[in-house]
Order: sequence, then C-alpha cells, then structure tokens
Amino acid sequence: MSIAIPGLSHVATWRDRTDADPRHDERTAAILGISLGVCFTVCFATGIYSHLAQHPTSWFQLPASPTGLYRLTQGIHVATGIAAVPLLLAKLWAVFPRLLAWPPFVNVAHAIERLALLPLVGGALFMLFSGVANIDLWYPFPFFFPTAHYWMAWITIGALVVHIGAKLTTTRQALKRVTSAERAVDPDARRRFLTSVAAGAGLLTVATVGQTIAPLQRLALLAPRHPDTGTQGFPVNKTAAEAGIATAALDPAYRLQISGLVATPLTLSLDDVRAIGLHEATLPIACVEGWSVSKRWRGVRLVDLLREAGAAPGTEVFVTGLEKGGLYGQSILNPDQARADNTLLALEVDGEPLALDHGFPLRLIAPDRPGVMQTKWITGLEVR
Amino acid sequence: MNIPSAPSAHPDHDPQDQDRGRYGATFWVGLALGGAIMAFGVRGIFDDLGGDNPTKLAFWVVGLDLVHDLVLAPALVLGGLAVGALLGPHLRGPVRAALALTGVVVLFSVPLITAWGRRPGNSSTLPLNYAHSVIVVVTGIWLVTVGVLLARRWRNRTVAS
Repeated sequence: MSIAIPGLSHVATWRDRTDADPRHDERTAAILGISLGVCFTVCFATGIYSHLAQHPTSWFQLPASPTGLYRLTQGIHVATGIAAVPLLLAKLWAVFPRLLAWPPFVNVAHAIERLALLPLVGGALFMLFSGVANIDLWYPFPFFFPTAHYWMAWITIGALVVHIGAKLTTTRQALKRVTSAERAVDPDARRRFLTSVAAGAGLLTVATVGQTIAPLQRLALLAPRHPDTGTQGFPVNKTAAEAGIATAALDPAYRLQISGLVATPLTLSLDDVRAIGLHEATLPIACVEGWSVSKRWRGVRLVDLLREAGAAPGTEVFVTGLEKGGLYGQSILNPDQARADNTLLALEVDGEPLALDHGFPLRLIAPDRPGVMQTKWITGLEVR
Repeated sequence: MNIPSAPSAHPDHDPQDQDRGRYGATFWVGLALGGAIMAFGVRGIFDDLGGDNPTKLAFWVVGLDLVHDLVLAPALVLGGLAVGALLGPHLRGPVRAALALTGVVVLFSVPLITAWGRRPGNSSTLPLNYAHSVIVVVTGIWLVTVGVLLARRWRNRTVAS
C-alpha cells in the first residue's frame, strides 16, 4: 500500500523511495534499536547506582571498595549517554518514514504501541538533551535537573519495555532475514550507513572521554572539563567565592566539632587535627558530570577521629561544611565508608596545602563516592 | 548511493499484515510491566518535582519530540534530497554521511561553543576554545571523507583497468 494524500505527492514519492532503502527497513531499525536499548539500559543501571549513592537507603549501602567503582560507573554513564546521541538520531531518522504511516493505527493494540512512542522518543530525547546540558553546566529548564532526569529515566525505561514487548517478534524476524529490497537495490547501503553511525558514536566518545581517562585527554576536544585544568591542577565544581565561605574558612577561630553518639564530644583546631596523625591515600574525585581524576591526598583518617571521640560502633557520620543553603554542603558516610582506612579529612593534595577552592581547611575524601558528596570546608562531624 | 523508486514491499505498508501475530502475550506482558514502571516514574515526578514543574517537564518532553519530528528530521530528509539532486551518485553517500556527522558534532557542541554554563571565577568550567575544537573535528570529518572518496576512485580505476 502506498501513501496517496492529495497535495502531498512528493511525500508519497519519498515514502516509496524509502520503502526500497535498506537504511529504513526493519533490520536497520532492529540493529540500531538493540544498540540503543543496550546504551539506555547501561545508562539506567549506572544512573540508579549514582542515585543510590546520593540518596542512601536502608537496604543499599555503597561499599568502601573498590575505591574507583563510582568513578567507573559514572564515567560509563556519561560516555554511554554521549555515544547514544548519534545512535538515537540515526534510529529516529531510520524509522521517520513510519511516522507518516496511514492509517495511523489499525486496532487498539497498535494505537497503544504508537502512543507509547511519545514517552519513549520524547523521554529518550529529554534524557540525552538534559544529560548533555548538565555536563555542560547549562540548565535551560526551570525544574531541578537531577530529580527530572531521575524520574524521566523510569518513564523512558518503562516505555522501552513496552516497545520491546511490541517489537520483539519483528526484531527477531528482521535479524534473521535479508530483505529482497536490500538484495535488489544496494546490499552495502545498510553497512555503510551503520558504519557512519558507529563513526559518529566513536567520534563523540573519543572527543569527550578524556575527561575521565587521562591518557585520552589530548583528544578530548569537546570535553566540558579537563582533569588537569583548574586550581591545583584539577577541576573545581564550586569555588569558595560561589559558596560564599571564604571569610569563614580563613578565620583563625576555625574549629572542627565532633558530636552525636560519642563518648567525648570534641572541638579541634587544625593543629589538634594534625596532632592526631596524618596519612596518605590516593583516591579519585569522580564528579556526577562524568569527569574524574585521581589525586594523592594527605589528612587525618576519619576512623582515628572517631576513635578519639569514642564513637559508637556501626554508626554513620553526618558531615557538615561551611556552605549553607545548598544540597551539597553536607553528606552522610555509611558505617563502612566512615571506617575505611583511606577515608580522610584532607589538608593537602599532591604535596601542597589544600586550596580554598578545594575545601581548605578540611575536605572529605572517601572511596567510591560522587564528588558532590566529598564535602568541602568541613566544620562538623555528627555521629548517628 | 542511488536508491531507485520501487513498488512498495515494505512490511510497514500493510499494518494488518504487520500486526498479524504481533500483539500476542509478549506485547501485553511488556505493556503491563512497562506501564507499571512508567506509572512509578509519573508518580515520582508529581511527588518530587514540586509545583507546576510536572507540567513544565511534560512541555519539554513533548516539545523536544516535536522539534525533532517537525524540524530536525524534515531538515535532514530535505538535506539528503538536496545532496541527491546536486551531486553525482558516487559523491552522495560520503557527503551525506559527512554532513550528518558535522550536524551531530555541531548540535552536540552548541552549549560548549556558547559557553552558557561557564562560571565566572572558575577557570575549570568549559576551559577550551570550543569553536576551535569544532573546526578541528569537522575538518577531520571532511578530510576523512575526501580520503574515502579518493580511495574509492582509485579502487574503481584499478578494477576498471
């Protein structure tokens, strides 16, 4: 059946041409669909991990090792999302002629399937658009990015499940057979098209992934952050000036308070902290925006501070900093992370005193955590 | 690539045929499971996003869909048709691919080039000259394209001789 809409004969001609074009057939759609399905599933799983890292629950606690697990999962999350940009545009282009299929639906199930494309396509476009905007620190939408991105992920994945249910048989069949149209017209058309799409995904990946894989940094021409650029040679998420804490952080009257479920509440000056003993740990700063860098930190071990204060075993630690009013001026360490040997309140990085922008006088650096939870300008530890 | 007009053999052109045996148990199970997941997401949006933000989010989701369907995709189709009309069969495929890749790179780089998210006083945010980066990447795309065209020409001449 060919489209014959009065006044739209050129559309009909284009549709007839695309019917014979293997780049628009079920097999191409299936290959791109599976690729996108894998990408979105990977993004969803790593995104859930990031969400759980930032919103601890009673049934899931982030482990303290491996130390670079969050760095890996979030690096994969962002890199996969970026690679999915050309994949999604290619998939939508490949199936675009079907948007004009007439009649638009033939039965209730068909109508439901097509209706579910709205949250699938709109959701997928929103997820990639908002994700790319976020890594570029650009927020054109009026709502809070993490909340919208998180809940839209559920809607998009739900719509993907509906789509998989609808397309499973078609996809299986399409991957088995080579269509007569393909054999008759241009057997290499699909291969060349998919090669171009893969080149696009590879190009964007190579041009950005250096923000987390240091050896590829020179190729990271389109990376929003560079691991070696910023104060003390690595990026800053929020400066002291942006947080409005510069005066308080430099005040000689600065003290660290340890309170809560402890035998002896403590109020410590920086010299008191140093006197407890400093240790070194090499740990990554891994930002939710996908950049990460490993640094050599020196500071007091949190477990030593907890021992000094006589903290109750198995308790978590609520960390507060000077930054007020935002969501990231505090964070929680679960019992494992709080007592890990390499969880530090750092005073130095790479052999230099910590810069104000990186959290002077004390910043948290713990294994397997998002950068936003490595609280800076620490003033309080409450054992809970 | 020259794709001639052909009588329709596309399975999508006959929805009845396409649908035959297609909406079986798998579809309904997928719909039930996917629908439940979507409902969970919708509830989360209404619970967590606050105020009239769910409406604004819906506007963005539908808006992006419409921008793609009514602007981006038609522009891509018309661009492809224009290349087909202007260039010979041997040039069309590589030039279309290079144009599409250029478009994706430029689209991806708009927030980088404009530096909307750059923060004053924070030199680590968007630290590069991204207009320069895009020129380098796009130049690379077109150099590879020219290389592919030359390689094909050389191969065709070798085969012909």
